[in-house]
Amino acid sequence: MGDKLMLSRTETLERLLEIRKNLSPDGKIPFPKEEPGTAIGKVDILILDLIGSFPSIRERINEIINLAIHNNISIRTASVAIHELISEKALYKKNKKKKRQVSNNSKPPKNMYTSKVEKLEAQGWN
Amino acid sequence: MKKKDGIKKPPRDQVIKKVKNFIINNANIDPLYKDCTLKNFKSSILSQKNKKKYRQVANYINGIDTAIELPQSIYLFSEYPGIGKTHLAVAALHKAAEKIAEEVYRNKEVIQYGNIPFSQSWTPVYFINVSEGLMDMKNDIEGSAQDFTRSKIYQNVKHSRLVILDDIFNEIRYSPFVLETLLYWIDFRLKNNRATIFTSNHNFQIFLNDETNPISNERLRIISRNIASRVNKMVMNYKIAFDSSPDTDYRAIRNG
Repeated sequence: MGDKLMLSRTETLERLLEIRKNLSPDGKIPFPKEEPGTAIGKVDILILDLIGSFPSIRERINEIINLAIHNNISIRTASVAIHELISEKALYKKNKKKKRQVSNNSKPPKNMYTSKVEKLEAQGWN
Repeated sequence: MKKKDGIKKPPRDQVIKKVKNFIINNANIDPLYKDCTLKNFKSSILSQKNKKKYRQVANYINGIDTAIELPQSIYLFSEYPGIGKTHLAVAALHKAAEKIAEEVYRNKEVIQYGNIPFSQSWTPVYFINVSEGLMDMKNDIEGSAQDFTRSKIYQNVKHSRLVILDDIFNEIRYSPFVLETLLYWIDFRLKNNRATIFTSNHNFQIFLNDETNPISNERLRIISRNIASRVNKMVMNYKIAFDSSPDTDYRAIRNG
């Protein structure tokens, strides 16, 4: 903390998971409770928005978060696990694209990105 | 009794405003952009996606004193002009000028009495449109025996605490003069921990790869790669790509 400009995504996730855990100390309300009218619902939606949309691994992410809420794993472990799951997913996607490019042995496929900006974002631009 | 005991200090805010105006007047900002601040940036006309990017830039601007100290540079890119990159860059200069004015007010007692003990050559923040600035430098030295590195523009871009290199890589021709001067500047600023704001309609990363580098001459291609790799180091995590199209030229709305 202190001299940093902003929190990273993982740090933000950890803070949110801490809040989520404190909102349901007995762990009776499982994650996610997608009801925007309640405090827990709002936090859960925020956590989902922060992680991003990965339908195929969503169940696993929910499981990990619930383990953290029930004190079965630490919040740090949960955030690392989620980070690895997402990275794995992103890497898999990247490799798939790369393979497709090599097999075509030509220009990248059209419409891979809807705009130049999306292409840059995939390369790490903000 | 000391002489100054009888002198009344003018209000702090008034003095800081005076110092800030002095800094801005020396910053070489184009008259068109001189009054650009975050307050008069119409972010409401931006798309949702660009609003998010705008908030990132606004955060950078609001923490500009930290960015100068770290240093943390930023690269504002949009494929088409008119999205407001230069406006935001100048807004950062205004904020930096304010912070610097507050700093000198704290540290120099004479300023607290309303005096500005700086010469016109004091340029803690500086704006340069790269193409025009290089042209001005060339015109200044043409016909004289003076070395271009003694030019005032050249020195200001090197030494100012915060510099805007506006429309970098928008040059029509990448001549040895253009590329060598850019390399001197950027290399110096990187090695001497000086923050820089880049605005451009070109992605600097095209110069990093031989396949995408548009320069055919091998020596110049190497220079351009060296420039781009230094820019890359300076703007790590602060490369902002605005979504744009030929229809997103908001200058008329903004200036209207």
